[in-house]
Amino acid sequence: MRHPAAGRERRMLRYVLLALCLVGCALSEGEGEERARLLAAKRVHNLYLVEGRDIVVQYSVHNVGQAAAINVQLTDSGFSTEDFEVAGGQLQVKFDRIAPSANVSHTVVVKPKKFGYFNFTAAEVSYQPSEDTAEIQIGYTSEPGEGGIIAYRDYDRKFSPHVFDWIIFALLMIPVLLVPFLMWYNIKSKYVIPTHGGKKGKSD
Amino acid sequence: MKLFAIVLAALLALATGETCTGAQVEAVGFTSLDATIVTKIAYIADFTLSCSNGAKDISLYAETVDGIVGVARSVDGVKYQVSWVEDVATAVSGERPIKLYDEQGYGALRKAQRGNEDTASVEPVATINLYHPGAYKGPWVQSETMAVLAAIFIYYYAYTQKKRLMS
Amino acid sequence: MVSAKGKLTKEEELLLQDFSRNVSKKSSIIFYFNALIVSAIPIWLFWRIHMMDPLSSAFIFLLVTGIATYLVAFAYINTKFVLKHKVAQKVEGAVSRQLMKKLDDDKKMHKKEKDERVSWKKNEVAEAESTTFSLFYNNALFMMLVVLGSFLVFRSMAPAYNYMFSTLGAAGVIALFSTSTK
Repeated sequence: MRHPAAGRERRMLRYVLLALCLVGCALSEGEGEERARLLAAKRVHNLYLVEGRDIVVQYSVHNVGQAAAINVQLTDSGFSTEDFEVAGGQLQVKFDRIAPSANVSHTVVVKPKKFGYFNFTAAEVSYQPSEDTAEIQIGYTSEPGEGGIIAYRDYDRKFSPHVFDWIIFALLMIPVLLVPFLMWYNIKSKYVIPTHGGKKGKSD
Repeated sequence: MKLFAIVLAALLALATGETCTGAQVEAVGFTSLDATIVTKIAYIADFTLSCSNGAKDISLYAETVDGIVGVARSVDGVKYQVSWVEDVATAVSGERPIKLYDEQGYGALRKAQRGNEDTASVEPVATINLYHPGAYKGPWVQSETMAVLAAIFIYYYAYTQKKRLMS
Repeated sequence: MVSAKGKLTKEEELLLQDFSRNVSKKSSIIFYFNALIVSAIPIWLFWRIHMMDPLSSAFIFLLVTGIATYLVAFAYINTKFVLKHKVAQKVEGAVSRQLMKKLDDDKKMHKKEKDERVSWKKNEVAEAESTTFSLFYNNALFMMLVVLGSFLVFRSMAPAYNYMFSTLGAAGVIALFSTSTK
């Protein structure tokens, strides 16, 4: 087994890689019949996956068939409300029509409620492969795979600037440094060394 | 964070059929504000469309950085969503207008593009202004660095004063 | 300062006591109280920034703070002792000039009494100046060492070890430095 931390880093990098997946591979191609064929990818655009912070998920669907895909439904049931909060976008959408060789993309931002390993599964894509068929084709996007969601606490320790905490720290320095300094400075300036008296010629 | 995008309705009344007249758009925008953990900034506009002529179930197209794309809809057809991503380094902040077209507008737009005509002459059904205030790309200097420098500076002063006292 | 005769005057006895390493009850309270505050401050850094859990680390916080308090107070006392002599020499001229100006009008006062007054005042000023400067100097050095230790030297260590090394290290170093007369 790989070291878990190293594996996590590697897995994170992997999300960025585009892995296209053929949707509806099992599709039986009719002779002479023009049909839509969709390729769909699901990508996670994150450097780190952090509890309670944005995860940008992008779905792109590309029609490589000869006909327009009708009533394309994209459903991602991988982000349960128990584990994720949707910050922006919708997890289930439809596109009325995707023309041949056209692309559509859809973006959702979710925030994980928990930390730990999470398996990013494929989203489902269903569509009618041509205008004049009622048949519904079902396929899946690529699968980003497993990723480690870092606890917010661990992330914060590493990356937060802690501005508030440092301000408090600076305030704590008032009794510790400023007060003795001012008291000393007051006394010092009251009894200035006479300039002529310095043995080593030091003067104020 | 959700931002209410400015709602701008434009008029378009041409042909019959599934045309939307007096379009009213109510939009909620989302953009990524923390660029320290993501590699791409997400721009998301969720909106509902209501037409003064009562037209429903309208297919929309939007002009975004990706070109003219079909607008995603919720399965019940009520909520629309236009979204795209941009690299953190090149993501533009400020107002991002999204022009919305219906089927007719889309057709006219394609025709204008093919004929190398000015696409600006095609009136959008409505325009959404998605506002992206810019994303946080991490601190300018690390707080620790500041603290270390301040601590050294203070001690250096104390040290010179001590040297003076001990001389 | 000590008179040639074996017998010391009351004033001289007082002076001698003040210049020794023994500190009065009042200043020892000041020193230990300050040392306690300063030694406890790293807890804030390690709790909030290095994310140590204050409850589960309570024992180590208390232990390290206790040891550091002792070492810091030791440093205060030594530094003050070393400084006081130097400061007394430095302020002597200024103190006597100021005091003489005031006492000149008093024709009845004896020369010896005036000298005693100067010596007493000088002691008081030197005591106050060396005490406050010792606090300032040692605190500045301690804080610098804690910040350098925890964010540079021991940063990759587990927070608990980082805390122990940087806090006790800083307290140890200032205690050690305070014993040198330079």
